[in-house]
Amino acid sequence: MTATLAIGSGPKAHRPRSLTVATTFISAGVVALVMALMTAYFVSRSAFSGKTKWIPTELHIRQVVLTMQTITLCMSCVTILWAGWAIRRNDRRSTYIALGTTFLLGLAHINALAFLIKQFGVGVASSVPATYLYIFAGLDLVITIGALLYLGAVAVRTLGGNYGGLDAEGIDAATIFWFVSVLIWVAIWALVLVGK
Amino acid sequence: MAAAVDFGAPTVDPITGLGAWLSTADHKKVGRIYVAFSLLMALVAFATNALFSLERVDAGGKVLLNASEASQITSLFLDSTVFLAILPLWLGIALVIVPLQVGSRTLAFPRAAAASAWLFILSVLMVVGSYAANGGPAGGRSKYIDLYYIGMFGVVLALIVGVVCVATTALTLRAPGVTIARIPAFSFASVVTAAVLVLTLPVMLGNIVMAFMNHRYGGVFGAEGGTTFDWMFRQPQVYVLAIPVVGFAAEVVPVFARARQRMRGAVRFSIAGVGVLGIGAWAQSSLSIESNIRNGVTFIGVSILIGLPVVVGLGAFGDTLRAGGKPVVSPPLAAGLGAMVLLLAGVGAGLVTGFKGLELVDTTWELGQMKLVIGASSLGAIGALYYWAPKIWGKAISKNIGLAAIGLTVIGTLISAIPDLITGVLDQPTYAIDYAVRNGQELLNGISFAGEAITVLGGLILLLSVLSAMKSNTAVADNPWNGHTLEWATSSPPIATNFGTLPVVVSAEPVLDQSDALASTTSMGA
Repeated sequence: MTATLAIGSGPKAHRPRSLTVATTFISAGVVALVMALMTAYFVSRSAFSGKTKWIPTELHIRQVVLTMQTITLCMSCVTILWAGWAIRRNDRRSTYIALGTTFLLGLAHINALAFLIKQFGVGVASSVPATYLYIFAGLDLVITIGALLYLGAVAVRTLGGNYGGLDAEGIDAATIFWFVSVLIWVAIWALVLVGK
Repeated sequence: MAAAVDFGAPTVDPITGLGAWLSTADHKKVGRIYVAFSLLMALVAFATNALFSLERVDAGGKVLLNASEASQITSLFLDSTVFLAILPLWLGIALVIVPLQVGSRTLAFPRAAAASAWLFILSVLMVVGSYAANGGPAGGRSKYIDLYYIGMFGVVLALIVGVVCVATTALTLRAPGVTIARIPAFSFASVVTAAVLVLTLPVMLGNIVMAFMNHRYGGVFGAEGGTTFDWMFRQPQVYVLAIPVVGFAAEVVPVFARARQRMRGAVRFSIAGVGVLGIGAWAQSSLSIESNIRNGVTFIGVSILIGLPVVVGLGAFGDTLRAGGKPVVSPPLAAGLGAMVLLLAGVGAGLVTGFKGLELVDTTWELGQMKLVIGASSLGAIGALYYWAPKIWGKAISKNIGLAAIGLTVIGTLISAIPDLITGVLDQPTYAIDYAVRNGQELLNGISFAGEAITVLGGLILLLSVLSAMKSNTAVADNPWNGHTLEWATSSPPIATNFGTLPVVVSAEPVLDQSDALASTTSMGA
C-alpha cells in the first residue's frame, strides 16, 4: 500500500535574508567609494583654470563604444530581472538562459572597456584627467568582474538546486549588485565620459 | 509568545592545534584572532605615541629622531591607533559577542570573517614592515611606500568585510523573539558602527587608490597626493570609535546598577546620533572646494550637535543608576562610565575647535581632543574585554588588575590630553616636533609625554593580566555578573554551537526575565 503525504499550508518558512543584507551593505560601500572618487574628480576639475580643455585633445574617448556599452548594460538589467522572474516560476531553463545572457553581456562590457582603455592613447601620468579616467575605467572593470563572479557563483548554486521558486534569494542579491554595477557605469558614462 | 529554541548537541571540530585556527569558521576563534592581534598592535600604537610625545619635549626637536623619522612615527602612531588597534579590537569583541547576544549559533558568512582576519594580519605585517624598511607614506624607499599603500588597502578591506559580517548577523540571524527593538545595546551599536564604517571606509579606499597612483606616477595629483588620510583621525570621523563605547556602557550600567535599562529609546538615540554625526568622510579638503572645510558652518554645526547624543546617553545611564539604588562597583562599570566622561570631555573640546576666532584648527588642541576620544574608546575596549572575558576566553581577569589598568588609562589620557589642549591654545602646530617656544610649552609637552607613559603602563598591565588569565585554570561561572542578555545564557566559554537551549525571549533582558521568574517561583514555593 502506498502512503500519501499531505503537504500542509502552514506559515511561510522564516528565511534569514543574510545574502541580501550583506550585498546591500557591500553595494553601499561600493557606491561610497565611487562617490568619493567622483567628488575628488569634480573638485580637481573645478580647480582647473587652464586655457586648454579639461580633457586634453590627445586623450581619445570613443563615444560610439561608450554608447554601445551603456546599451549593453541596460539590456543586461532586463535579462537579470528575467532570471529572477523565471526562477520564481521554477522555470529553470529560462533561468539558465537569462543568467547566461547576462553573463555574456557583462563580458561584452569588459571587452569594450578594455578596448576603450587601449584607445585612450595617452599614458596614465600624462595629465590629471587622464589619471582619473584610468582610475574610473579600472574601478569599473574591477566592479564588473566582481559582479560577474557573484553572478557566476549564483548560477552554479542555481544549477546545483540551491535556488528555486520558494527561495530565490541568491539571484535577488546578485541582481542588487548587478544593478549597482550598471548604475555606477551609467554615472561614470554620463558625468565623466560624456559630460567631460 | 516565542518558544525556547533547542540547538541540539554541539558538534566537535575534528581538526585541532594550529590547523584548527587556520581553517576555523568559528566566530569566537575569529574574534579572538582579531582581539589578540589588535592588542599587540595597541602596544605599537602606545609606544609610537609616547615616542612622538618625547620628541616634542625639546622645542628644537631631534632628540631621538630626525624630521623624516618623526613624521614616520607620527603617521605610524595614527595608523596603528585607529586601523591596527582600536577598530579591529572592537571588531574582534563584536565578532565574539554579537552572535551570542542575538541568540545565533553562528556568524553570518563565517568563512568571509575568517578570511578578513587573515587578510588583516597579512596587511598589518605589510604596513609595519613598510615602516620598518623606511616606507610608510612619507618614507624614502619607493617600493616600500607602495607596500604601505597596498597594506593599508588590505587592512581597510578586511575591516569592511568583518563589520559587514557582524551587522548582517545582528540583522538577520536573530533567535525567535529577539526583535530589532530587543537587540542588546552593544549589538545595536555594532550595527550602527558597521553602517558608518561601510559608508566611510570605502572613501578611505578611494584616498588610498589616489595616493598610490600619485606615488606610482610621479605626483600627478600634487604634493599631498591629491588626498590625505587625516580626516580619519579628526572629528567628526574620530567619533566612530566612540559608538561601541556608548553601546558597551549601556550594557554594563543596568547590570551593575541591578536595574533594567531606563529610557531605552534615549540610549538608542544616543548610539545612532553619535553614528550619524560621526560620518566624517565629507570633512576632508580633497573632497571640498572650500579652502578650509574645518572652519565651515557644517563642521561647526556637527561639532556642536554631537554633544547632544552623548549628554542624552549619560542622562539615561544616570537615570538607570538612580533607579537601581547603590551600584556594584566593578571594573566594567568604572570603565563604561569613565569612557563616557572622557568622551564628553572630547566632545566638549571638539565643540570649540571650529570657531574661527579661537584658531584652534591644526594646533595640538585637535591632537588633545583626539586623544580624549581615543582614550574613551580604549578605556571602553578595556572594560569590554574585562566584562566579556568569560565569553571570549572562558577566563576571568583579576579585579584589582582590571581596576589598575582602567585607572592608569584614565589618568594617563587626561595627563596626556590636557597639556595638548593648552599648547593648542598657545598655537603649537598639531604634529610638529620643531616649534617656537611660548609660555612653558616644553614643560607641558613633558607632562603630556608622562601621560603617554602612564597609558602605556596601563596597556601593558592589561596585556599581562590577559596573558596571566589565559594560563590560569580557574573555572569561571556562566553568568558571573548576573548579566541580562543572551550571551550570559550559555557556558563560559560558549560551546561550539553557542547555545544548548535558548531561554524564551519576550523582552530585551531575557536572562534577567529567567532569573526573575525563578526567584518568583522559589518565593511562591516558600
